[in-house]
Amino acid sequence: MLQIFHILRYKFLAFVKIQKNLSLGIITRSLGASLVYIAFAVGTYIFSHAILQYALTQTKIGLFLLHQFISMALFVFFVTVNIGNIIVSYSTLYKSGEVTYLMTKPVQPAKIFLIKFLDNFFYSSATLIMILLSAILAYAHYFKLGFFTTAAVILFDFLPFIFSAGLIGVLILLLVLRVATRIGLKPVILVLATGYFFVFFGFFRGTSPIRLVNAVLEHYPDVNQYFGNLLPLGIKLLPNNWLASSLFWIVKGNLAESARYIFYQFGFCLFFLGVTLFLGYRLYYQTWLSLPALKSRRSQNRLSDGALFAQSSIFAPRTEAILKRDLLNFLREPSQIVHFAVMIFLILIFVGSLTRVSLLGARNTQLQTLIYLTVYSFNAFLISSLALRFVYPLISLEGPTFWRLRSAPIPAHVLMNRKVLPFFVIVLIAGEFLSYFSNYHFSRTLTVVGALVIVCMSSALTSLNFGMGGAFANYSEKSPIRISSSQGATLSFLLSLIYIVFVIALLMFPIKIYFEDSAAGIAGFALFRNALIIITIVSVIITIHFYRMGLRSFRRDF
Amino acid sequence: MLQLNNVSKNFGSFTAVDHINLVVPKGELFGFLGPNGAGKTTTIKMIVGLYSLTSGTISLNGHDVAANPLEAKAQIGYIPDQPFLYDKLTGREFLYFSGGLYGLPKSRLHNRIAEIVELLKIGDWLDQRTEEYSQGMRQRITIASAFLHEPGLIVIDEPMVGLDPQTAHIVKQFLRLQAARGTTIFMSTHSLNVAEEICSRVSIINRGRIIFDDKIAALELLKSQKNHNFEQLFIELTAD
Repeated sequence: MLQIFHILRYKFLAFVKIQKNLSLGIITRSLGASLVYIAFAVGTYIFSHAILQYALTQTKIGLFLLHQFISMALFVFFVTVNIGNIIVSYSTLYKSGEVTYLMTKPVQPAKIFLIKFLDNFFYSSATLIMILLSAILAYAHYFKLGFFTTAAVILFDFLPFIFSAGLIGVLILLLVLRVATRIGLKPVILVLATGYFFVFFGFFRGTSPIRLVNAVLEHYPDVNQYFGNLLPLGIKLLPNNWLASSLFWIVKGNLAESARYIFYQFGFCLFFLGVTLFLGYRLYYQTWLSLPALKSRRSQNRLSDGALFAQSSIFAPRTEAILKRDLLNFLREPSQIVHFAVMIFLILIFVGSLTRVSLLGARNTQLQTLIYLTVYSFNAFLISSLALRFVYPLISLEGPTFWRLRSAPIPAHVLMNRKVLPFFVIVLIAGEFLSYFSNYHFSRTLTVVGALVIVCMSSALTSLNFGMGGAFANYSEKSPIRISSSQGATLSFLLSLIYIVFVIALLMFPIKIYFEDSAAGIAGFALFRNALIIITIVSVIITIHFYRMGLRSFRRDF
Repeated sequence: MLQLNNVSKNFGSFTAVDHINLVVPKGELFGFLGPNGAGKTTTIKMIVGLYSLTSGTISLNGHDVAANPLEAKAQIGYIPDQPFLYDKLTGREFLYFSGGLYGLPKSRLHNRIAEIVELLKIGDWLDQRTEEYSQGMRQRITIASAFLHEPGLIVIDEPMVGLDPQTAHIVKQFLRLQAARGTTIFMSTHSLNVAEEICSRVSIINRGRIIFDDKIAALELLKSQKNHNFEQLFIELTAD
């Protein structure tokens, strides 16, 4: 135990030390980052408060439906943290230079596992935790929960909830690597992806939001009571439901019932903590040692790829060289491929779950607006995540070999265009795909509006992440995952969210009127004209500004 | 004493190290040479516990490295070719951190740091953050941290990478002194001059197999018999 504290003490010391050579630029950047963090936390708080008010006083969905929607959002949050932890912990637990260093010292691998797990958990989930904490505080304020009740919810309900998500993620990673050493990585990943697909599919099938809304609204106006009998048993046994149910009973004033769910949550977390530590003790070192063999298995499989560079190409030599290098680097980095597959998988699941979404809230234009904007926000969130994860690290990933490009006779903008354009196209296609499937249920007008907004968003978000990635470039970090979860990346993510909230806020009013006019049969495209003009102007400004920022990073001393 | 018995390492169907046997007695400054990809770093990583063994055993003073990894690691100081340092810690803080991992009491650590700092001449910049260090400075701090707990065996992968002539001289003197004090030094290097200058015995590994293993005097004899310099001899021995 003393050894663990010794390591944590020095890690903390290294973490809290600020930059030694403080320049005006660094101070401004740090202050700017802090301001964005604070503004975002406050924004989330205000936004959550407004949503609660809107849902309960305008759309009057009642306490039960509200908490069921919270439960669904928590489920998505749980899976996001869970998958995020699988991916990030691969990098933190298995590929970090610090682990290699500690492995050569007389330190039990189980201790290294524990230290790096904590490191990984807070590293990968800090922003999401901050967002959810702000939302919980808004919830506590709205329902006037006392200080101790709020603190108890955060400590014994909320934190164990996300901790469980992280624990299960690491547990899955240990088992995946253990099995992969025997049968190879590809089949294991395939089984895992299929498993997640069925979990997601099963959850939304089981919850069936349309059936739930219709069944509860039949009891209108008596919609604040508990309709637990409408939920299948499988859904009731999930930690997201425990958290939502405990909140529901706190609001209803039944603390004993609430405590029951908090107990489940805490117990669930402790159970998985025990299992993860046990398996970490048994499997971590073993799986860590097996990685070179796994890597060599992959490199043997790809020996035939070597001919790619020798093949003739339709592109000019410079373009060909950069594109082929980036393609091979991408395909040969497992974390890139796996994360990309996960994102595409999430997009497909989301599109699948959009079936019959227009039926939700029919006859209630307030609810319809809320649902539409929620779906749209989620689209934007997915696009933003795609840009953050794959565009933000582009410049940092040049790494110590950046000298090769910097010393070559290629103008900065030509190089950057070659690097960014392929990802812009990917983000755009994914965005248009999402937009089409989110809108075509509603009307042709909304489909066109959605498609136009996505062009602006893809351009702005790609450029924003590219520029921020250049401004916060870290050439010594090899892991794209760690780069895209660094402080600069978090800031980029928050700026992206601010932009998304801005776009959604601009669309909110015309959408609301559109649904009201649709009911009267007089809705038209003209409603969106002003919002589209503003979105286009702002997006162009963002695109140009951050693109230039990215170019400037290319000219900095290396 | 370090002993490698029939040690092999396979990566899939590729054999990186092929049934090698080596005994390095206490106090020997042992040079482990070979061309790129010969198996030097793989062997070193097996000794320090970063790679598992496909077959064979490695023991250090009677401790099996695979069966008792912690006991073995407590007696090893490892200096990798690309050292890891915490960027925000100063060199001194890093030394305290490293010493703490071996459970050294503070008083002993103070003395050891003072002694090694003097020998390696790193006092001038010891209290700067390691993020400000040059490659040579990083290398010297790593060497210092490896010797702190007075290990029985030092394993070095390419000790002279990035060192200027003065620093290389300091490091060579330091290694000689430690070997004279009884520390076993297992050193992998590409630099034939360094091996010839400071090692008491060398082994040459090629394609995973040991092709030469003898005292440096035997190597000198072979050189004169063939009328070759060390470089020509090395090329001849490791030719396909």
